[in-house]
Amino acid sequence: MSTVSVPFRRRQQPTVVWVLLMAATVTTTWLLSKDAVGATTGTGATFALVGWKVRLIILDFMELRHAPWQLRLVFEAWSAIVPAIIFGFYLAT
Amino acid sequence: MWVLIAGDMVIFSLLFGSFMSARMKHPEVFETGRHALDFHRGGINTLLLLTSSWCVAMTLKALRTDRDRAALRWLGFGILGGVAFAVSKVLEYVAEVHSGHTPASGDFFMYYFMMTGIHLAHVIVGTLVLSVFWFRLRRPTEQRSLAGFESAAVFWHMVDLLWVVLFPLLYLVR
Repeated sequence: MSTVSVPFRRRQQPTVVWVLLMAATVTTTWLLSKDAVGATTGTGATFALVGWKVRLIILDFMELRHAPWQLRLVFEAWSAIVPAIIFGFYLAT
Repeated sequence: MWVLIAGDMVIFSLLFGSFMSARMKHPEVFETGRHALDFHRGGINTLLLLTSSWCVAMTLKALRTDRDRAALRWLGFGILGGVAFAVSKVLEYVAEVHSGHTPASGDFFMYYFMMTGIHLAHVIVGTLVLSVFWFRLRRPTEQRSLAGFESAAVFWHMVDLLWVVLFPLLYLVR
């Protein structure tokens, strides 16, 4: 089966995903952690990026992008709910 | 396999919640503890695991197109990433203990050693499993199935995914 007809964004080659993950990690570790960025803004943006990174790993490294929706739902829900709960605790502290 | 992965992820999410709940009670203790950690090392470890995960994804891609030599090479780099992470983590533990931080040094370090320790055990198991596949790949047989390696790869990506949450939780929440 040819992959040429699959749109680039849906194909998500592992190398593209890896570059995105590396860039997001550099952003959270060495930019958003700076004192110039407010603590709440930095932590919120960090965990928003964490959710996005986790979703990329689930969909493109674990290859759940084209899995049955029930399986995909469980794992995608984790990627959204866990960072949200962590940030919720943070705001409540 | 997916049930095992989901179970592991639920256990870790409970640990993450428990950590944040403990942080609510003594935020100043957790902030002091966080400052004692080297976030540069944590960030580099994250880049290492992400790169290792990418190598394993590339291994699977090579295996699916019968490029066994390329697969062997990618898998070798993936395993090296796991070994490098484990060595770095052990060196970090040594540095922490030398600085007087142990699991008995309060809630922050209890959680730090417990969560990173459980995660490190996953890294070691994953690296050993990937190494078994590397040795098998060196001696290809007529009969081959990708199902086993696909499961190992999913496990390795989960190890990566858990660290992607664990690292900012311990080192970056301020």
